[in-house]
Amino acid sequence: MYNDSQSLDIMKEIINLGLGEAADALSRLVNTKVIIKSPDLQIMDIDQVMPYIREESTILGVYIAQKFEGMISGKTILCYTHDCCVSLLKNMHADSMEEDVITETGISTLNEIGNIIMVSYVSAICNFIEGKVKFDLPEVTVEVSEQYFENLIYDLDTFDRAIVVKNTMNIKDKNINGHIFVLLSFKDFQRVVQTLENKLTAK
Amino acid sequence: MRKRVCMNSIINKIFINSLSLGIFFIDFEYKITVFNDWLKKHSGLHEDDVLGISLFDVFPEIAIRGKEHYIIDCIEQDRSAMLSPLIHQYLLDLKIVKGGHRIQMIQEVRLFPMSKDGENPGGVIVIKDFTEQIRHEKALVEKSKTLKAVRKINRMMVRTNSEDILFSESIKILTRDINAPFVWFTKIEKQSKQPVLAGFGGSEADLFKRIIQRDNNLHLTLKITRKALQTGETQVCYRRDNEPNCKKWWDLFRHFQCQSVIAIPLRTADTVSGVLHIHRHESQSIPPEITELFQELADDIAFTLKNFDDISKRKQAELETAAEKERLLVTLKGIGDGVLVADKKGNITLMNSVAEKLIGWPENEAVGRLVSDVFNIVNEFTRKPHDNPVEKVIRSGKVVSLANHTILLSKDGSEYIIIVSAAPIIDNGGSIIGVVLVFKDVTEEKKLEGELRAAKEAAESVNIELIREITDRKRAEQKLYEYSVSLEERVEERTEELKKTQDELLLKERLAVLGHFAGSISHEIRNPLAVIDSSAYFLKMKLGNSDEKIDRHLEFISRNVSKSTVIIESLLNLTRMEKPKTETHDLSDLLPDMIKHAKIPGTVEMILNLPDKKIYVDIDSEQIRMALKNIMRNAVQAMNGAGKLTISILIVEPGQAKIAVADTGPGIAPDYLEKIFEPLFSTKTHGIGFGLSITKMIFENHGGKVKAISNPGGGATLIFTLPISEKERYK
Repeated sequence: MYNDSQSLDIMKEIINLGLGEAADALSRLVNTKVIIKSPDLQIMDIDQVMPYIREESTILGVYIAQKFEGMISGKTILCYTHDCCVSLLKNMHADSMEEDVITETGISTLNEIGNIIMVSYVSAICNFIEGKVKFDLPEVTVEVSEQYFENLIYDLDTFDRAIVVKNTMNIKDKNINGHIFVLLSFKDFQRVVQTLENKLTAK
Repeated sequence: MRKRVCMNSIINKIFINSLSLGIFFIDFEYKITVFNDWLKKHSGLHEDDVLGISLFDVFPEIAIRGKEHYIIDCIEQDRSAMLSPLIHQYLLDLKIVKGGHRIQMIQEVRLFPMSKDGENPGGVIVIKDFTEQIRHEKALVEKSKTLKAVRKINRMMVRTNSEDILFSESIKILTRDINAPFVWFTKIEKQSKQPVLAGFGGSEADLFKRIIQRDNNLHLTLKITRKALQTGETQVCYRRDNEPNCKKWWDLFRHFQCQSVIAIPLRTADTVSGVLHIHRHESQSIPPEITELFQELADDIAFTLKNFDDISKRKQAELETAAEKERLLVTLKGIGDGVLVADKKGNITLMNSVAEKLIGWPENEAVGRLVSDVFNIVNEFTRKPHDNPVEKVIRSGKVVSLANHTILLSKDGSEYIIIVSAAPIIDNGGSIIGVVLVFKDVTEEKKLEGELRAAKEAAESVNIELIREITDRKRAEQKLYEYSVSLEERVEERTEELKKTQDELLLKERLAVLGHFAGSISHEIRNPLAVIDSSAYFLKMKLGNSDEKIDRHLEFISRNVSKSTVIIESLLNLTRMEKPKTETHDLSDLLPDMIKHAKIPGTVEMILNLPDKKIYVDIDSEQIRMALKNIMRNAVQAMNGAGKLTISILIVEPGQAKIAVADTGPGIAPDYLEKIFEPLFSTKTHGIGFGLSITKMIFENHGGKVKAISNPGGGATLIFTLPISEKERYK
């Protein structure tokens, strides 16, 4: 686990900025106040991610995954439990939503929301390190087996580090708790960290 | 290379035109460079119309709706973007036809920048038609919500037993769970068979309430309601169809913001008991699955309502049965006789307190036992056990009564003389389901009977004596009565006789006094009359024929002297009436002679009726002659000297002869019939009235009687009777 607290704080601040922008964008989009907070940020090795997830919440959830490449390359995953996604979608489209089913329309909405959120905070990181990245459109997966995340991790053998951010989205006075994972290779992670340190040193 | 270009071209063709997606390419100036077939089909634009033209010019609504920044960000910032259908609805204004109506296509839009080596040649916009997906998901949502609402209502119906609660809760659930703006029920009133409003609710309930207060037949004016009731089929009405004759409802529709209403009949096997109306915001046709769910719901509600009816009728029947049973039990228990009820196996099911006392078993111990175990009866004289009447009834199915002289042996050793009767209890099918046994303790009665019998016999013998005495007394009373009646009659007779005798005595006394007085007066008057007569004769001799007047007056004097003399003679006759000197005469011979010497004027017709045989009477002929002369003279005077005079002689009865003298005069007044025989009574203007009284005296002196009667045809008849001669009688 990476424990450099100063860097962690800065990272957290950067991501908060990004999430703030995401919240603004969402607020405009759905015409209702949205606040996203990230109370907790950790940096961990990839192999620590699964135990962490198990500890934190059910594995069966909804995952919005988005690839990015450019100055740094990686994958970011936005994770919500199924119930949280349902709450989120209901708050946005109460009339159209089944109580506990995420339909294709819902997936499309989650896609857009995920895109807005993830692009915002990854872009925030990249802006900070003065780099440019390009994003694929997200993929939404409604987990039906425990294998997905494990497979995801196994598939991502090029990634070594994960920035894990707990976040809470408040929309229409309803809190939607989720996790953000920014999965980076060791090299790209180092670049980010190094840039952070350089900026701090420069200050 | 050429092959690769060909392959790319084929792959492009497949991906651009064969995936049922709208795909167009734009360059860095937002001009359209590729416009696929799907877009051509849905936009109606030809490739030539759009290629090289700015996207924002071809589809100005993108900028109007503020969606242009996504495209600009995509191209200029190399940023992919997604426009989800629920948030954005659509990017391009494309219309499609669904259900016969043109509607806006709902789109999912993905924007991909196409940069290469830092250069941005443009972007790709991929459009997916999400209309059907949205509709399908909405339909699923609606179906799911409807299903959940129906389940909730079904669960509620199981717990409720009130029609009002059923309606109100159903309305609540439907308006809340399926977001119906307005839901209402009509039901068919049981008595009037007319549809009435049974409940309504929803966000527009208050408005409806105000309207229905003004127009309480509003619920009957919706055409689909009437049709649903008549046909028993679900009816749907859409505002888009804008049916006439229903303006009130269209106004309400506008207020409710509803586009359609479905009317589902509440039907059971053969009747429609009401209609459920659900108003909906949606204008599209109601999916068949939803309609089916509503129909199932309506059927369940109808079935439940019918059950309420049946339940309430059953409850009512149960209550009535329970009350009746209670009443019967109370009655049974209150009957003064012993009552015991057994089932068809002969086991006791019920006993009243009298039975308990007599049999000696408490009910709770006896119930369940066989009747024969507790009800022991023997013959009073032989002490042999009687057959169990309950078993007899069960076998025969008929009422059984035990003859007299039955003794019930109680459990505690007491004995009771009883009268027993048992009858079968029969169900509606005619089967015996039990027996009711009724028995009465008549021990005391029997005892009393014996005492009464003895008393009766004693009383009867006393009675006979009494009757005899009474009969004798009655007989004696009757005799007394008869004797008193005859005594009265005799007293009356005697009184009458005495009166008559008194009258006669008075008359005789009067006559005697009168006769004496008359005799005195006559003597005193006769002498001067003689002198007057002589003087008149002398004057007539001396003066004779000298003067006519003198002659006439002298004649008057002579005539009146003669008359006075006659009167005096009559008076003297009355006083000198002697006892008759009788001789036997034949009336038939005597009478004509008497009539001849009576000098009857020729103007009077004489009729004489004489009998064929002789009638001998003992009479003083001179007196009888005088009497008859008086009678005939009276009769002639009564007839004014003209008429018919009939004299008849009859033998009235053995020993009596009757002489009847009938005239044709005016008759005699009834009051005078007796009085004419009294002295000094006269109806004539002249005469003193002695004639008939003398006549009566004469006949009475002869032992006869006199009577006067008025004739029915006019005139009077005097009847005189004389006794027949003794000599003739005994001949």
